[in-house]
Amino acid sequence: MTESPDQQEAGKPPEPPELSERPEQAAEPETLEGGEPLETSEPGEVELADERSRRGSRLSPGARAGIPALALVVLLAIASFIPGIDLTASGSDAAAVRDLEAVVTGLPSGAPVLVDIDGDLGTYPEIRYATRAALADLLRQGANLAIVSFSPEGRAIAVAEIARLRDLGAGPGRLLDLGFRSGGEAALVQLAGSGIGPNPTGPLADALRKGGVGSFHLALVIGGADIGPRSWVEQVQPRLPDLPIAAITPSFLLPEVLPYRGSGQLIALVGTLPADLAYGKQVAAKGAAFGPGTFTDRSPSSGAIVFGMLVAIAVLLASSGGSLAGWARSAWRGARS
Amino acid sequence: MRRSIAAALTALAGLVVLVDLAIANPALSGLAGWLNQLLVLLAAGAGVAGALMLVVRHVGRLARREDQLGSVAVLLGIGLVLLPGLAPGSTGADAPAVRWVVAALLAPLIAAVLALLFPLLLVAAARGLRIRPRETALMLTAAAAVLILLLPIGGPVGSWLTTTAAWVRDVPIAAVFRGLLLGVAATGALTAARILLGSDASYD
Repeated sequence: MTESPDQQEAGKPPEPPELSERPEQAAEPETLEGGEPLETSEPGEVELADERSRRGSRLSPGARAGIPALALVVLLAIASFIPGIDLTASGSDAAAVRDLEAVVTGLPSGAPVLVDIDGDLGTYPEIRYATRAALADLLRQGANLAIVSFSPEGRAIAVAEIARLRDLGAGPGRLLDLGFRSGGEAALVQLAGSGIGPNPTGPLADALRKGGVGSFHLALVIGGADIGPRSWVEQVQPRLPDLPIAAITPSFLLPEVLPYRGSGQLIALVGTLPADLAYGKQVAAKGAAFGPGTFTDRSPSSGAIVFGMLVAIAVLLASSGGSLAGWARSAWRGARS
Repeated sequence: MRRSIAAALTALAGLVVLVDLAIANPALSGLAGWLNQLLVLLAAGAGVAGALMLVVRHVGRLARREDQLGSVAVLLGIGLVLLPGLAPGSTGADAPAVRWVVAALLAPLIAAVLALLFPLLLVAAARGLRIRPRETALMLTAAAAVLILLLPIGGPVGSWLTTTAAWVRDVPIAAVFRGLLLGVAATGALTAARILLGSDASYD
């Protein structure tokens, strides 16, 4: 980590020590901005801090840093078994689910669908449930899937999903792996302009080469930070205006892609966890009993999510509240003196 | 002279792609497609060059006996991904061994590293509080407020929270985000215009 501009300007010593070295002080500010005195400068507080430091030093820094993380993992595991907590889907979430369901239901049997899996490994767990539900729903509807990726992380996810679908019985006539295409948006343009290319083999590949990219009935984009619905709307839609685009994205992308849904450039957009869960549950209810259309994934644990959120809220409020209170106290003392 | 040739070539390539979007012409489309293919090849070449540089760097570190464990780990990782694809009889990136390495090794490893994001964010927040207490505290309070809005509480309070969360996402956050995107787009257009007009400093 580099020094902050303030530190560089004031000629202060380099960055403060790591949290793991002194975890007791992590949630409390050592100094206030502008070199104001320490909040713990009162004699009693200093002794208390020394005592705490002595007690903490019995464990190695690694162990001290690991204890809270381990405790969090254990508590999250316990919380994942708590039943009865449900993520509430708002009106817009329910509408998003209806849109995607309508798009899938409207596909004729045997319709080729282009699926772009370009999620990030960090955010994919949020949308994995909805993604698998959508793939199962498409296959149950009779659609044939051609899966492509433009980012290395997306390819890793796609490989795992393709293997899972093949294990469920999706043969080469139903599922085509178009592989990884390097070049990012340039590769996206190439796919839109030149089609699937000569490498893919199988009956579905032959049909797609014959019909061209225009023969796809739908493009389903599983978005990530590198390639997502925005890239598709910008690069593919001008070249293939008749190809409808639907998307499943992690919630951090929503501010970027919601306008495209508002303008109708995306015909469906599922992007929040409650919407993902609602969609997955609906697909699970109507999914096929066996075969590639089967969807029996366990939904993400709402209990663990809620517990994680509560921990995060508590930590954020405790740390920022202490800092803001310290700043207010210091300002008040300054005004008095 | 060299500067003029590079600028002219760049301007020509950019204009061909730009005009291809506006005019439907098979010859122009073919030319734009060819240029795009060059771009894809360039990106692939850059990837290969990057991997080669990584190998050279870590072999050098091994030779100098610096951080040997780290360098061995990197070289082993590269080998594990490359060898199954380059082995005789392999079908390359689609080979089952490569698929296994990606799905069973690479993806879980990256996902495990990214799972550390939550504790790392908390550590970063603590450091931020020490370096810039007021700004960080404000940011963290805003983050806590958003999390509170997203809490799945039932009943009228939960309904109010959900509605407010959707409003916060759709209005203020979306407004800031769109502002950023417009700024990025304007800067991109300006940079593209500078490149097309040959006035970009990168030719010097």
